[in-house]
This record gives sequence, C-alpha cells and structure tokens, in this order.
Amino acid sequence: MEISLGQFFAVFGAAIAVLMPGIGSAIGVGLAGESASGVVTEDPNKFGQTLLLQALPGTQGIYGLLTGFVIMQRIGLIGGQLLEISTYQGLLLFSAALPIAFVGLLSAIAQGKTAAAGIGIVAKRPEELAKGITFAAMVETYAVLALLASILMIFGIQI
Amino acid sequence: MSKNAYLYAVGRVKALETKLLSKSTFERMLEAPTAQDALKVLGETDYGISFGDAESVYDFEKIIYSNLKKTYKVVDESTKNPLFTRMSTLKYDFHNLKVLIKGEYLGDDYQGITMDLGNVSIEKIARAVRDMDYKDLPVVLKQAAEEAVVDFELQKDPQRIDIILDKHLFKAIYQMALETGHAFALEIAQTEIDLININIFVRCRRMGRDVRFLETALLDNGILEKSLFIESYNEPLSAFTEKLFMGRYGEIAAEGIQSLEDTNSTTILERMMDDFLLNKSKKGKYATSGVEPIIGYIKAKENEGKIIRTIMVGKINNVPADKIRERLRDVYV
Amino acid sequence: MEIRVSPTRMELTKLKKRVAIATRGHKLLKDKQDELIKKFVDLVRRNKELREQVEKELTSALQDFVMARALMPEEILEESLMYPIASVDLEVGRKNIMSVIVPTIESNDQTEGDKNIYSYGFANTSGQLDDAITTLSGVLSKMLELSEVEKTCQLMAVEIEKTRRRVNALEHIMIPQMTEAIKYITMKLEENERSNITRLMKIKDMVMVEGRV
Repeated sequence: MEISLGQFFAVFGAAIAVLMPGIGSAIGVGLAGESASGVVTEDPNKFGQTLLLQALPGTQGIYGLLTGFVIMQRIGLIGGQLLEISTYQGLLLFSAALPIAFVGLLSAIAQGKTAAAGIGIVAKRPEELAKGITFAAMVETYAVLALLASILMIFGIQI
Repeated sequence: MSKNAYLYAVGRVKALETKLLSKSTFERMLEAPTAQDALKVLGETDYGISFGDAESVYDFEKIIYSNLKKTYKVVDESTKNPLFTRMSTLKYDFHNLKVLIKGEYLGDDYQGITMDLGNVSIEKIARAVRDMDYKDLPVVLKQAAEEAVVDFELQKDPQRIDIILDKHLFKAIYQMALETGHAFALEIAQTEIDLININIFVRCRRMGRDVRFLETALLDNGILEKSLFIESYNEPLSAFTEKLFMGRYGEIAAEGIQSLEDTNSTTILERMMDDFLLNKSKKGKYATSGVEPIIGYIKAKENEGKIIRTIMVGKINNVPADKIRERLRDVYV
Repeated sequence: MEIRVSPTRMELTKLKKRVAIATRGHKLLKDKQDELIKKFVDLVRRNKELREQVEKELTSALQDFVMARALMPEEILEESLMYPIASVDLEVGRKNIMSVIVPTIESNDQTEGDKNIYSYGFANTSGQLDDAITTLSGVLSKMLELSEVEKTCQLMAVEIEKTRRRVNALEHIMIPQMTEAIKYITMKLEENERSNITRLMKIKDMVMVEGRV
C-alpha cells in the first residue's frame, strides 16, 4: 500500500496529540506525587486528599489521548481502512493537533506545581482541600480550551 | 538546580510545620506557675516524644537537642542533600573544636561541654587535637584548627581561638550556601553574617576595643562591606545608624541600635536581629517549592529551641514573665 | 563587797598608789576606746557602703548571667568562659591601727591598658554576657576592699570589746574596790587612833587618881 505524505502528517498529528500532553501529565502527576509522599510520610491520614490533588494534572493526558483518537477515527485508522489524504489535509490535521499538544504539555506541568502547592495547603489545613483543588483546576481551563479548539478544527477539516 | 528538586522534602516539611509550636503554647509556658508546669506544657506538644527519660526541669536542653537532631535527620533524609543541614550543624563541630583546643591548653578534660549535634565524632576531634594532627578532620575544620593553634602558640589569647574559628565557620557556611546554588540559601547565610557583624561592631565599641581588633573580629562575605564598619568605628554611633538606615537593616538600625543607646542593653537589638533573620526565613512558609521551606523549617526549629530555652531558664530562675517576654523571639508559624 | 586587807599604813600607801595608777590607766584606756570607736564607726560606715555596692553589682551581674544563659546554650556559655583571660595578683600585708593588727590586700591587676577581659568570640554569644563580665570585673576590686574592711571591723570590734571590758573593770570594780579598801583602812586606822587616845586619856585619869592618892 502506498502511503502519502498527507497520511503521514495526519498520523504524526495524532501521535503528538497523545505524546506531549502525556509527557506533561506524567511530569505533573510526578511533581504532585513527590509532594504528596512528603506529606503522607508525616501524616498517613492525608493519603486520600493528596491523591485527589495528585490526579488533577493527569487529565491533560486524557485530553491528548481523546484528540489522538478523534484524528485516528477521522482518517480511518481505527476502522482499519486508511483514507486517502492529501498533503494539505494532512498538514491541516497536524496543525489542529498542536493546541492540545503544547497547551497540554505545559499546562500539565504547571498544574502539577499548583497541585503540589495545593498539597501544601492540605498538609496544614486539611479542611481547605476544596480551595487547593480550585486553584489547580483553574489551570485545567486552558487545557480544556485547547482541547476544544483542537477538536473543532479536526471536525472542521474536510476529508 | 530546579525549583522542583525537593518537592518530597517540601511536602514533608509542610506537614511538619503544623507541629511547630505556636505563640499560644509559649504563652501558656510563660504563664505556668513553676518551671515544672512549663515543662509539662511542653510535654503536651510535639516535644513530648523527645522527653525520653527526662524528668527534671534542668533536662530541657536535652529535650531541645533531641528534637533538633530529629529535625536535621528528617531534612537530611528527605532532601538527600547533606548541605542543608550541614550549614546548620557545622557550628556544633566548631563548638566542639573550640572546647577541645582550649581544653588541651588548659590541660583538663572538658568533654562535658561538647555538643553531640555535629557531624564529626567528638572522639575524632579530640584525638586530632591531642595529637596535633588534623589530617583526619574535614578540610574546613582542619584549616581552622591549624590556624587557631598556630595563633594561640604565638599570642596566648583564648579569645582569638574563638574569633578565628568563628571566621572559618562562617566562611564555610557561605561556601556551602554557594554550593547549593540557591539564592535563598545564600541570602540567609549572608544575612546571618551581616547581623553578626553588626553585633560585633556594637559590642566591640562597648568593650572599648580598638579598630584593629574590630578588623580581625569581623566576618567575611557579608552583604555589608567590612569597610563600612571599620570607617564608622571611631565616629559616633549615630553616624553608623544613618549609614544602615537606608539599607535592608534600616529597621534594626532605627529601633535596635537606638534602644542600645537609650538603655545601654543589647537585649532589644539582639532580639530584633534574631527576628530579622527569622522573618527572612519566613519566605519558606509561603513558598510551595524550592529550598525556601526547607531552610525556613530548619531556622524555625532552631528558633523554637531558643524560645524554649529562654522560657525555661527564666522560669527556673523565677524571672518575672514580663522580663522573659521582652527577650522572646518571634515565632515562625 | 568583802575587802580583805590588813589595815596597816603600809597597805594604805600601797593602795593609794594603785588607785592612782588605775585611774591613770582608766583614762588612757578610755581615750583608746573612744578613738577605736571613732575609727570603727568610720570603717563600719564604709563597710556598709561597700557591701551595698558589691551586693547590688553582684546581683545585677548574676541577673545578666541568667539572661545570657537564657539566650545561649549551656555548653556555649561554659565554653565562652572556660579559658579565663584576665589574672589578678594579690598581695596580703598587715597594718597597725591603734595596736590592732589588721590585714591589707593589694591587688595587682594584670589586665591594664589594652588587655581585654572577654575570653570569647562574638558569633554565638550574647551582649548580656559582656555586661555580666564587665560588672563582675569592676566589682572585684570592691570585693577585695570590702573583705579588707570587713576583717578590720571584726578585729577592731574584738579589740573594742576587750578595751571596754578593761575600762569597765577598772571603773566599776577595781577602782571602787580599792577606794573602799582605802576608806576601810582609813576608818580602821582612825578608830585605832581614837581608841588609843581614849586609852591614853583613861590611863592618864587613872595615873592622876593614883598620884593624888
């Protein structure tokens, strides 16, 4: 089977949409996790609360995966029948993947730091868990916006 | 080094900060009718587990040390970087070195007043001092000991032993702060040096020493230039205050040195200097990553020990609560 | 009071001489006592003054120590003071005040000029410790003077007591006793005289009657 440059770009787009937010989330969850283990070492009762905060930077990875799936589905990769895609269409799909790829990467790291800080709040005032979550969730907004933009673009592209 | 290098340690420290003693605990200790009762209040806090077999009110130093030891251990464990605690514990090694060198010249055994909080075993320092062979000691201790001993042979002045060792100590602390690569560590180290230099300046004046002595006593590597002190030494104190006024130590100059002039007592000045350093360290209370919380926590713990000591000594000697309060340092939390 | 003297003229002359000596001795002792008391009062006043000063300064030095201790760990405080830097030479001599031998203490301060009295560094020590050391070093010479004055006072008090006892003994016992004895002898002698005269007169009468017969 002949593979066109367009198909390559489309798959490349799907790949970075999963890859970069994934890395970001891993780093973010890792940062928060380090901080959480510190707290739990001294106070094991805070495991549940800190886990909640630790999980927050993980969402970017899910958004990335979602975007990747949508691209794969659009180009027929999931069905097993790769559609014919021109070079321009491929580049368009690639571009559409960029928002979630970059915003996902950076926002996940930023959210990881905020979550780690939120864990600091929990360490001192467990009753203020909601506020810590809110601060971390604010970062989420931009990941959601990027996801929205990426998805809209992907669906807008004529194949 | 990355700001996120010590998140685990920061998390632990944040959890531990909740166990720092608050002002109200100290107030309760102050209001306790006897020293025994004050100790009981302390026993209800995180210090309770450090009590061990301590019974008498005179054991409070042991309790403070055992708690400090725990703090250093936690920080060491969680940062995996010995520099942070080393910046604080090196002073105990230097103290032991001072005791043992002076003891050697006095020809008596003074191991009773060594402190078991340093990194180098007391036996090792004792052996090195006895044999006059310091090659087994860490290099900072070795250099300091050699210089102090040579100087003592020539001058026979025990004060100079302390001064030389102090200078080496703070040089080493400065070097370590540089080595951590964190501006905050450096700021704290340099602030401490500056504050000690201000203290040296005013105390040398009170003792009526000449400017040459001041020059030997001043520590290096402070933010304030040594020349500032030396030039102001033979001027009235107000000239010195004015020079400090615009800088970062303005507050100390305005209130602390002023109170020294008014009351001829260093009480307020020294308290203000300790509070100043603690305030700088308090950055760690609000920072959520980086080294600030870690360094801040160590300083907070050391400060806590000071407050407990002031209260307990005051209580044991029946000093009125107001007089103790006048000397109490600020708290971190 | 019983006086056992033989009422003879020789005894009387002896007693009279002794009274004269005792009276002179009494006067001398009395003068000595007055002088001693005068000196003693001066010394006691000085002693009180010194003691108050020393006590005040020692109290303040001890308070400074307590406060310095409150700000410094025990080990650091002891390390600061373990190697004394100042030394003092003492010379103890003796002096004679009104035949009372009293001690004198001369202190020879070795820490003159630029020599300093502070044996410790600055980094870990408190300025309160400086205050304590300064006060203590100032109080030393006063303490030495106080010990000198106080010992002198004690010795003089003993001497005054001794003198007073002697004066009293002379004034209230010896002299009255002797005067009494003199009076007794005089009376006895006069009585003898009178009885002699009476006897003579009687004999004369008897002789005259005899002669007439």
